[in-house]
Amino acid sequence: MATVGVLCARGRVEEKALMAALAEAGIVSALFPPTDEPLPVGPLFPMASGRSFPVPQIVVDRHPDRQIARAVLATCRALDVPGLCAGIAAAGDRLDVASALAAKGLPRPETALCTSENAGLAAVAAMGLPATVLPLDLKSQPIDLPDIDTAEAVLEHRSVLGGSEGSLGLVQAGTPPPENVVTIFVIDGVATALETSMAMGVSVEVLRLAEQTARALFADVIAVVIALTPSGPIVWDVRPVPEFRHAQALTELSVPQAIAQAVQHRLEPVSAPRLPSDSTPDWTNLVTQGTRRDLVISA
Amino acid sequence: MNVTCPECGAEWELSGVEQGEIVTCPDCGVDLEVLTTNPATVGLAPEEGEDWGE
Repeated sequence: MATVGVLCARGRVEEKALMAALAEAGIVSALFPPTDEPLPVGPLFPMASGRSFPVPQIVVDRHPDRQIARAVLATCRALDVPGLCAGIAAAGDRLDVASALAAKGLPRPETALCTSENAGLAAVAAMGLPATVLPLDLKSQPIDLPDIDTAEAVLEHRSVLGGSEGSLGLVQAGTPPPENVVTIFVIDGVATALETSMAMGVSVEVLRLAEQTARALFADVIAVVIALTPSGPIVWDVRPVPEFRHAQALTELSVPQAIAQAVQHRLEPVSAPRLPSDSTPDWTNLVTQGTRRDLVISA
Repeated sequence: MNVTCPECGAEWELSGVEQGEIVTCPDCGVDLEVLTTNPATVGLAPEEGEDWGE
């Protein structure tokens, strides 16, 4: 039985690298859920086939389809199987992410939730151009609105052909050029790797902002897209299941190795508190690593 | 003709195909489009999606 389930649609370069890193760390893993196998909901009952469902000890979220991922992660939680995922970005959409970051006071672009074509046009008129439409679904790519003709065409098309799902979206002020964008991979709260076409190095301020973003979203693994603006770095977008095949490591660990390490920490047995010989227990020194509290990933 | 899947990195031999043909990666199962035949290269097959009226 697999110890770690890698939640994905198919084994891409990233998932293969992750499974290799897990194997290197002595952890058995398998793609999850098993192909063509229904997942049990709630407490485990014997399957109709008589076999028991192969429940992993922990699941790593690598599914590109967020709708499927959310359903499987929820089912895993019901089975008391913890997950390693992007927290609010794994369970929610771009509005949930923007709201959580705004609540924490993290720097973001001016953003408006638009529920119709006219609302979108009004937002663009207020913010000025260029602007960017970010569909609520984190899987969908942002759409640049460089001028008013494009803005009108895109917003009308989304509204007419996309129905309510197409009408809903965030409009963010600006369109950062690729050379001003850096993607930081944060694993277990630490900026581990980055991807950028920037000529200059990335400042510590940017790395700390990415780490703060991951914390605000309760994300175990996430990529934070940061745009460098004249007024400083801002969180432009996040990727709950990032590709990392071209990522440059910032630590001695690669992205898959860092994820494997995070998995390893969660698989460590719960440390029983050692009562000090002193008559006054010092509970502040208890080791919390590996407790159930660490395994809760839901938003 | 050996080709490499851009999705999973698997290498396999591809023969008897034409440019534009859709093939399936034997490793990860993703649909791939044959971009060129000499040398053989494949890319992710385009998914159905919005064309924004273009």
